[in-house]
Parts: sequence; C-alpha cells; structure tokens
Amino acid sequence: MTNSEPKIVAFCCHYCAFAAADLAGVLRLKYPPNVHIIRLPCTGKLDALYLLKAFEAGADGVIVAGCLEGSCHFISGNLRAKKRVLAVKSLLAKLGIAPERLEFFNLSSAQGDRFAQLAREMTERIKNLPNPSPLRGRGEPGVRGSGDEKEARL
Amino acid sequence: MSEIKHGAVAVVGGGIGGIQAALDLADSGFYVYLIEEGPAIGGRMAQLDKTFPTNDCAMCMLSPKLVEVGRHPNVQILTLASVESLDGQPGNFQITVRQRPRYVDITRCIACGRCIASCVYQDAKFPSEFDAGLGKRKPIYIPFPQAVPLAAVVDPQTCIFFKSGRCPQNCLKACERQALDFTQTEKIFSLDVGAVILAPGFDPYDARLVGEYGFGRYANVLTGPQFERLLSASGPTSGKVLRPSDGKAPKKVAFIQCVGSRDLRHQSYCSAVCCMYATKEAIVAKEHDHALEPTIFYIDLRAYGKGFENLVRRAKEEHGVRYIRSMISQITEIPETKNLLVRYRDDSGSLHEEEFDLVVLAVGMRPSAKGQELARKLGIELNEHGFAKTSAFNPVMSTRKGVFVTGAFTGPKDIPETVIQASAAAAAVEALLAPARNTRTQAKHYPEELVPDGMPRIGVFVCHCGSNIAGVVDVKAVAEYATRLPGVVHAENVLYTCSQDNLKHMKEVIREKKLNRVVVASCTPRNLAALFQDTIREAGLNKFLFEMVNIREQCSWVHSDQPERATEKAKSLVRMGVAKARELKPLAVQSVKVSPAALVLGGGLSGMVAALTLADSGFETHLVERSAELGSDLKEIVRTPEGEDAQSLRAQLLGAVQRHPKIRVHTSTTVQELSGFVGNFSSVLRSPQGEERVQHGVVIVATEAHEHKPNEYLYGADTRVLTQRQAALDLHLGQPEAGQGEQSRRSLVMIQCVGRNEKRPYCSRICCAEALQNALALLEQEPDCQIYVLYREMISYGFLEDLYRRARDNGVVFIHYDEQSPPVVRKENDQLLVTVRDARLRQEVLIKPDLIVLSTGVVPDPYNEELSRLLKVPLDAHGFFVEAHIKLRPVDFASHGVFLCGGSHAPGTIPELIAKAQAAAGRAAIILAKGQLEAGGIVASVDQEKCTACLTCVRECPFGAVFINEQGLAEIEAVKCQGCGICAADCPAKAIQLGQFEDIQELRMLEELFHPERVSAV
Repeated sequence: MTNSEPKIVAFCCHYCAFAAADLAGVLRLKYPPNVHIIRLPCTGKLDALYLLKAFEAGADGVIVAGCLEGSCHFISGNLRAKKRVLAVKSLLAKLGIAPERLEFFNLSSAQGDRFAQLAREMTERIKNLPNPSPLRGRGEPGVRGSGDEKEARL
Repeated sequence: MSEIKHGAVAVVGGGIGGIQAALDLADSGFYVYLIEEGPAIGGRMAQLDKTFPTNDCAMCMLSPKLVEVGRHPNVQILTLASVESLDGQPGNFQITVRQRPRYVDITRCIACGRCIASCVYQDAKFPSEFDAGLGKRKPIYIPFPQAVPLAAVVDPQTCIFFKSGRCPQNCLKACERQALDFTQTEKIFSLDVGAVILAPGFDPYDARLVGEYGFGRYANVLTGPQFERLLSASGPTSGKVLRPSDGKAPKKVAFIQCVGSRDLRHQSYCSAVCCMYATKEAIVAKEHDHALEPTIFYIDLRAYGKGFENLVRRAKEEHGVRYIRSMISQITEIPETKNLLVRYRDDSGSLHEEEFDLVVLAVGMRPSAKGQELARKLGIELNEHGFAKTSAFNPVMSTRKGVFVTGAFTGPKDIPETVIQASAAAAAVEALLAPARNTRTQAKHYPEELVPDGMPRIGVFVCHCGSNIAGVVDVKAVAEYATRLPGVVHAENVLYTCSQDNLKHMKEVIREKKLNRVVVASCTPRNLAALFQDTIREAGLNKFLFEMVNIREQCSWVHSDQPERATEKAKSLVRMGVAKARELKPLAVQSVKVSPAALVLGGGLSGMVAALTLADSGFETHLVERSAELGSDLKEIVRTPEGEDAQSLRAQLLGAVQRHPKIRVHTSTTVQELSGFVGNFSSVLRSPQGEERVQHGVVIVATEAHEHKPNEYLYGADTRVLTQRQAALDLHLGQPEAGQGEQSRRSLVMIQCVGRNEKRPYCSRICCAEALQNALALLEQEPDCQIYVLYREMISYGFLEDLYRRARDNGVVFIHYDEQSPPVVRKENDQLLVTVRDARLRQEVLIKPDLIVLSTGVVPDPYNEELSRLLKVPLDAHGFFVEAHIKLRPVDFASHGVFLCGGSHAPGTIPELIAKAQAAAGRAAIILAKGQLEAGGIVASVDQEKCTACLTCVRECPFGAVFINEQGLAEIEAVKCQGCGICAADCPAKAIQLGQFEDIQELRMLEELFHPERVSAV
C-alpha cells in the first residue's frame, strides 16, 4: 500500500494552511490520505533541518504551506520560510534528490479547495517522478532510487 | 449625572464593528451582551472574499475574532435577537430583548450536518442569505462554515413542519445529539446595562430600484456583493467566476460604479467604498482567470484612503484593468447570448456601445432597515440620509445619552474606519462606566498546578464525534492502538469529547490515573483546544501539557471514501501526537504588573482627545508636546466640513485638558529616552525646566500631519496665491490677503493635487472637502465670484458629496485635468494667468483669476522619523506610521503597548481624527485596565550557553523582542514575544527554542510518522 502512495508531510501554518485544511474537511473535499499535516505556529518556525530530516526519515514529498504574501500573522514568517525552502531545494538537487519533492505554497484560510488540490497535485507530481525517493527505505536493498535522482550519500 | 450602576454593556449588531467593540469592552473589565439579529455573528465582512487595499483574505482575519468573541468569558452572544426598548438612564439602563427560537440547542449541536442531509428537501432550494441569494440552502442549515455559534438553525418560513405541520421530521431522528427542539418559543427578557452601542451596519442598495441596469431581469447582471460570493472559495461556485445564465466563464466583465449612489433619484451621498471594492473585485477576478477582461465605468475614482492609490495603480498597470470615466445610460440584454450591451457616454461626451459577458453593479450602502427601526425604538435621531445623527466632535455619540453608535450606521465607511469607530465607542463607554469596571466580570480560579515529575503518563481520548469520525475511522482500533504507544497509561473512546459530561470525566481520569499529559484526537484544535486546555487546568495540569490531534476535518471528513486508510492515518496522527506529548513541558505564565499611566506624544487635536479619553477612564496621562502650546494644528482650521466651529472645539479641548486632574501637560518637551516594554515603559522627558523620568504602561503616538507648503505656482512669489487653509482663514476673518481689495475676488481658481507627484503620490483625503467648503463660503460672501476648481478626481466621499453638489448648483465650474498635463500658472503684466487642458473638452482653457488657491495636501510631521527610531515603530515610504494591521488593528502598532492616531497615521477629517484618537485611547486602556499582563507560555527563549551573539535573531524578530543583555548575549523579552518562532528557525547555533514547538517535539513527530516500528513494538 505505502509503496504505491508516496508519503507526504505538510508543514502548515496555524493561521492559514492549517485552517484551509480544516475547511477542506468542512466542505467534505477529498484528497489522498498519504498527506500528513504537522502544525506550526507560523511557517517562520520551519527549520530547514525539519525538511532535511523529513527526507532522511523517508518522506517522498514535503509541502510547506504559509499565508499569502503580505498576510503573515507575524509579518514576515512566510517570507523567511520561502527562502529556506528555496535554499533546501537547491541543496536537495546537490544531494541527488529531485527538488520537485519539496514545494512552498501560499494560501489563505478560505482556500479549502486549494489545499485539497495541492495535496492531490503534490501526490501526482511525486508519483510521476521516475523513481521513489532515494532515501526511502534506506538500508533495505532494492528499493533505492537511481537514474535521474542520483543515489544519495548522507 | 445619575448613578453608574451596571458594569455591563449591550452591543447591538454582530458584524465586525460590534465584535470589535465587544472584545475591547470585555477585555477591559465590562460584561457584554452581543445582540445579533441573524443566526450567527460575522456580518457583512464574513461574506467578503478579500478586502482592499491589501487583498487580504477576509475570513482569515475575521474567523479568529469570531472564535475569540465566542469563547470570551465576559461576552454573551444572543443570536436571532432584536432590541425592543430601552428604559432608564446612562449607567442604569434596562434593555428589552426579543429572541426568536432557533429550534436547535446550540450547547448540544456539533454542526455535523446530519440534520441538513436528512431534510425532506433533498436539494437546497431556498436562496442562501450568506451567498447573497446566489447559492441555495435548506430550511435547516448552518449559516456558513466558520459561523459562531457553529450550530444549525431552522428557518420556520421555509420549513415544511412549520408551514404544513406534515413533515416526517427526519432531522430530529438524524441528530445523534438530540439537539433539535421544535417546541422552542420566542423569549422576551430584560437586561441591566450601563450603556448601549448600536452597530447594526448597512444594507446594500437594492439594485432593482435602478431599473435601467436590468438587475433582476437580466441573468448576467449581478451586484458587487454577489460577485464577491462568486470569487469566494467557499461561495456557490467554489471561487470560479461563472455566468449565472449558462455557467460559463465570462471574458468581458463590466463594473458599473455609483449604482444608487450620487444620484438624486436614489441616494445623494457617495457610498465611499465602491470604487475600491470594484477595483479589488476586478483584480481578484483577474487573478482567478487571466483571460478575464475587467472594465470599470466610473464617474470619479475615489481612491482616498491609505494604500488605495497603490491598489488602483496595480489594477491598471499589473492587471490591465480598464477604467473609463463615463455615464452609463442603459444596459440591455442580447436575448440569444444573454450578453449585455452597455451604452455609455464617455468623458468627451461621445456615445459608445460595448458588449459584455457579465455586468457587476457596484451597489452602494444604504441605512439598514434594522438600524432605522432601532433608532425609532430607542428614540435616537437620524440625519437627513437616514443614518445615525452624530456631531463632528462626538462622532460615536448618538442623540441619546449613554447610547453610542458606530460603523456604517453613522455613514458609509470601510472596515478599518468601522473598527476605529467601534474601538472609539468602546472607549467612550469605558469613560462613562469607569466606576463600574470589573463589577460584572468574573475571574476564574484554578487549582495549583502539579509539577509533572517522573515519566510521562499520557491519557489519550479518541472522539467518535457521533458518527462524524466513527462513521469512517475505526475509532475503537485507534484507541486500542494508542494504549500500546510508549508513555500512554490510559486510552479510551468518547462519544463526544467536548460534551460537559465528558469534560468532567476527563478531569476524574486525570486525577485517578495521575495523568501528566493529555492527547485528544477529535476535531480541529483551532476551535476547541482552548476548551480542553482549560479543562486540564481545572484538574491541576499545566495547560501546555496538552496535544490535540485532528482526525475529523483532516481525516474522516476528507477520506470518507477510504475508511481503512483513514483509520491507518488516524493511528499515525495519534502516534505523532503522543510522541510530541512525551516531550511536552509545562510552560510558565507569569503576571507582570502594569504601570497604570499613559504617555501621549503629540499635543494636537488627536493627542488632546486621546489624553482626555484615557483620563476620563481613570488613567493618569502624560501629554507631551514639542512646541510651546497645545492644539496649534487646530489654529489653521476654521470649520469642519460639517460646518462646526473648529476654534470652539480647540477652546473646549484646551480647557478640558488643563482642568483634568489626571492629565499632566508637558509642553516644550521632547522624549529623550524610552525603554521597557508593554505594561512597563520608562521615559525621560526633557523640557527647559530639566529632565524628568516617567513610568507608564502604554504609549500613544498622536502626531499630526501638516498642510504642505508648495514651491510651485508662484506660491510665495505672489501674495495672490494661497493655500486652502490660508484662504479659509482669510475668508473667516472677512479680509482678503494683504494689499488686495474687494474687487480682487471676482474670479478665483483652485488647483487640486498640487505637489502630488511620484514622491508624494498619495491622496491627502481632505483637500477636496476644504476646497468645496471654501468655495461655498466665498460664494456666500460674494455671490458673483466665479470659481473654477481644477481637479484630477473630486474626492467628496460619503456625505461630503452634498458639498460637491451644492458647489455645482451654485455655479462653481469644475474642470477635470489629466494627471499628465497639470495646469500652468504664469503672470503677465501683473495679471495671473492659468492655462489648463480640460480633459473633457480636450482643449486648452485660459483663465485670468484674481486669486489662486492651491490644495497642497498634507505631509506627516517631520518629527516622526525621530519617534520611529525612539519607539522602534515603522514608517512607510511617505513618512506615515504603519499600523499593525491595516484592516483589523488600525490604531495598534505591531509592538505591543504602542498605539497610534493622528494625521501622522493617515490624513483625515476632524471627526475621523477624533474617532481614531478615541480608538487608540480605548485600545491602550485595555492594557491599563487589566492591571497586570500575562507573559510567557508559547514564547521563545535563548540557551545562553549556545548563543554566539551573532544578532540574527535581533535582526529577524518582527516585534523587537530580542535584545542583547549585559552578558552580551541574546535574550528574549517574554512580554514582547508573539511566539512565531522565526528566531528559533533562523538561529545558526540552535540556541533558541519556542515553547510548545521545540525542535525535539517536532522532530519526534516526523520520526514517528515514518518509522512506526520503532515505537509500536513496545
């Protein structure tokens, strides 16, 4: 089951994306159950380390979702987060992990449909990558990725 | 003055104004009855998708406020309720309330929607009020997803049971909570209150009354509020702009301005918000669908508020919104396509016809029917337009003592002005009821907290939520799974975790099993976490030893098609929650005493009003003014646009300030030093008499703006060229400028927007009104004088439109000039000559005036820069102060305990500045009234062992909470910290941790998401 569905972790800001995910529920929208949300007080709290740890632990994809630009409850947290995500994306590329596995989104708490949609899109995007995450199931021979995503050495 | 007996207040109207007033009052020691006519609070703002000028999401801003007011221990919300009568005196009123039955017990309803699904009406059939009639609802419905109270309501007008008595009442059977009760009846009761605030809001103008636009006859003609619902992600089309006639995406969309406004057949005044809301809707629509081509047909484009100009520029330049200055003569439908033919006369007078796919009518604001009825019942007067009558000097006071009015009830206005007036009204009530503060509110007492020593002992409560969760997720399996997780000593299933009986049960379990951490797996923490935290606190646990797992909105409701995987996900989420719980630490909240005094900087109109408001509320206030006298800004102003005498206002204020025992005036004084934080500031004031240190809990920045002194148009070189304020003084004194005889005022030119250029692009908001006022005053003295006003846009918003009309009726000639070709002034043989290209006639016009009056706009006080550095508060590019939030915190700075008002926040008329000053004082008084502040909880702290003093955190903290201590290391002021965690994430040494979101807690969650085997194998 888990082999066919990529595991995705979504770091969501309490004020917008987390609320949007709630609204998706209220509207009874559907998205794949492989997306797990971790709530942050603000995406500004997102440490670049969390992103790397997520991939190390075996995430196939990571979503970071903060407020619309200019709407951060804490003024500039979402902008800080975006920078960190961009930095980690380039780091991922160097490590041989497709940077598309990590994405930053801006959304408002009223965008329940957008949350459901990006959860679906991210799942599809990762399914369409030629290989599973090279870090997935480390230590289990045979499931490592190769090809586009060079084998990672950590 | 009668006795002040009741420390309770009735706030009538649950829109954003009523909510703000209720929160301000409840936070400063008064009990509030929030009386709302509809089934939920939220008002018109809840229906908005975005708000101008920042295009922020309206619900994101409003929803937390709804939750806050809904949970506030000192606010009682009465929905479906209206006021019948008001007896008694200020301080001792009895208000009679009529409350209609809801037929749903809000204490039992969990808003699961089963009653709605089971209704005999299989399809929603009745127009939804929330969706402005575009969407449909059933007779039983939840007003909107974020509604407070979040509960179903039965509409007896459409419910079959009430209409025919023959209904199987499936809803009754479907409800698992026995929340429905069709035996409820209307209740009439009386409440004791000390004061009343009326905030009934406005009604959108009925577009059907403007017959030539075809609303109600043509399918594809919508109103602005309806279009807003189409744009909203939670609206009837899920945020897609679709034509009602065929559900297709329109390409060409026309926005028609001034529908019902500025029109003697309808409403003579300008509705003040439509130009901006149409601009916003055009941009948002364009963002949704790039192919869309919006056109805005307008008469005058009134972008007069803070940031408005910028939004219009973006609409034009970035989004390609087309603006056409025009008069619409007719709209007709093309029967085959249902497209609309818009016939209009453009600026130059030529007629055009253009076809559009959709037409949006920017309907204006009219006085609400509810408000007018309220006025009748409470015996308060209305003005000639049907809005509440107020005076320029008391903008939130009705004609009945003890009854205050706020928001759109006093005239058309936008959200920030409504919020400002709401805070102003709350401040006025506080001043009135100060002796009864804290007489009706209750403080809750908790047992002493147990220190969680030893191993984690976690209790897990897995909620069924009736069948909302249990219908999809195998909750029994989840609870059973939880028992096997490390640290868990108790796990059980609960039918409804939030029910009163379970909360009691939870407390018993905590005591019996000596739990030291609690995990609840149920719905979203956004609504109920505070309730559970309060519960565990009642059982003696620190409230931060709690973690909530969302298995409803983020699991069962979105994965109902895959129950097995939903169960697996619920287990993962609970495992993650438990992992975090194991690492949770109690967080201390300390009380910090507040210095019960205020420092007001700026002794102009705003500073004096703010100081008086604070002092009347019982707080000692230091009023600091750099110059030698107070109120010098008012000396330049003769009358308000409403015709009231500004000099008598100045005299009144000066007298009141000087007499007030709680106000200490410091003139010729500057602030040398300001340190400390909210609740405990310490300042050094320097005056010719020497230096003095004062302690205060809050700061209000109240500096004013000044009329710009131009260096163009012969100003300063010829005495016949004046500014508007100079002209007003001359008119008032009845003598023209030195050296000029009576003859010299036969012909006069006023030039608007002088000096408004790229460096100073903003609209100063007040100059058009000053020009109109001066023109009318001059014509009274010299009816034969010919006055020409050369303008870019006439900004006579709201009731100021009446001045504009009177000026036109009295023969003032208005010549529109284009921004790119401003008028030219020269002198030939001592004759002043003005040439201007009339944008309408497309011709040069030459005028030989005797006098030229320049509208030069206002500039912020130059002292602001120094204040900005001193207080560490931001200035915008033009030198105006930047508020914490343009919509909902218009008089707060982001730094806690510092507030702003005055022209240096944004230009405004006298009544606007007064309301802003009262609002700032009211907001500041909340802190002073508390006496002590809570600090700590979810705040960041620095591990001094690891800190390398790299200053990253000092730089990145948006709130200035980080400072370098005596050891040369970073330290965080807990009172200032807002808990965002930016510093923690940015710290290169990992020396900073944010309580409740520590790295170890977050990383444990991550690990356990991906490596369940490490834990469940226990």
